[in-house]
Amino acid sequence: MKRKLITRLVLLLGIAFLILAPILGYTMDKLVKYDKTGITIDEESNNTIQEAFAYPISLSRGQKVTIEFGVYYANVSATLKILGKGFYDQQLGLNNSPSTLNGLYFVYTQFAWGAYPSSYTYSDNARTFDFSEDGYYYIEFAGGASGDYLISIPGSYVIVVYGENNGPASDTMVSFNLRVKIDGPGEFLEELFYYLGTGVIVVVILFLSYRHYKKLKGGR
Amino acid sequence: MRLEEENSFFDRFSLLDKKKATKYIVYGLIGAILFGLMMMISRSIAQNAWTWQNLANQQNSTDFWNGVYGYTDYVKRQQEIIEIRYWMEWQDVIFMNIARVGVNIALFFILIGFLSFALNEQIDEKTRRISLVISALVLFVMMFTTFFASISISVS
Repeated sequence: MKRKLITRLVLLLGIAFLILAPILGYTMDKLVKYDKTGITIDEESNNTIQEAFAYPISLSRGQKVTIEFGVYYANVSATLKILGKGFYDQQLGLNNSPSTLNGLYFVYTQFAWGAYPSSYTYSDNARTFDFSEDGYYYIEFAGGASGDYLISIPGSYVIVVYGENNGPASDTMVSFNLRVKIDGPGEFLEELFYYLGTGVIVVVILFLSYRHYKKLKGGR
Repeated sequence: MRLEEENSFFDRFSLLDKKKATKYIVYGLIGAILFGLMMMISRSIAQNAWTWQNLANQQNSTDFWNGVYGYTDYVKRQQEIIEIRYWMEWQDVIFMNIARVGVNIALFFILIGFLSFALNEQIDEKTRRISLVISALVLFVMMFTTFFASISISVS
């Protein structure tokens, strides 16, 4: 009786693994590292990098970061660049203007319905929303880019945002929205749980078959 | 000289009594059905791999257009779809060979079962003859499917 209960519990565990696999895969696919609307910096950030917004990220081989950058605020001009950590630290010490620095290449996408995805994917080393523009960019970065494709270069990087306010002289605030997501262990966990679930069920079936065979043979 | 040495090869099959021979035939049939089912499922998956790929590609495009993920994830998924399709085609080679071996073993059981019927003197002459014909047919199928890969039976 106890053995029967244990077998059933193990079988249920196997089924639970199989159900959990896609759920874990979906939820852990991308980890939200930073998500904030209305981040405010001073327009002095346009002249000195120390005033600019900076968010450090670290990427391993094959890993990429997804950045959703949006501006929906009056009189705001904002630019996003990604710099190597070493280069950023050097420029931070010199306190140079971020507008003069060359950012690393990333790809950004527009979700054009019905169009072939590569036709609406571009690579660039900076993205700017001008005073007259509102908008949203879906950016992917892995260290470098060539055409539509990302190049994986593991290392430490810094996402830098700076800008200007074109409103009254007293209004110096630059606001923007930013969401940073990094590739998580979702794919690995999904595969692992599929293997675990299948393995457990196969073991239970083999065990039950063996017991049945033993009964047929007259043992026990 | 020992008694066992006097017995011919076929004499040994007569050792299978009616009950055991029936068991051999039933097990052989079950084995053949199961391995045959495996063959058909495996072949069906391989033949429909392209249809699946078209569906998965469309789902991938829709997910991209909905903004579920970006271009890099789209390309990654596209490559995964191609890899899975290759696996769907390749598994056919693996499972078909396993099934071929399995079916032949199952047919061997059926052959032994019918041969035992044919050699069993307690069974009436007519049944023994039919059993011999069936076992000859099974042997014929086994030999041809084993040695000539181009010969196959298709059910549509």
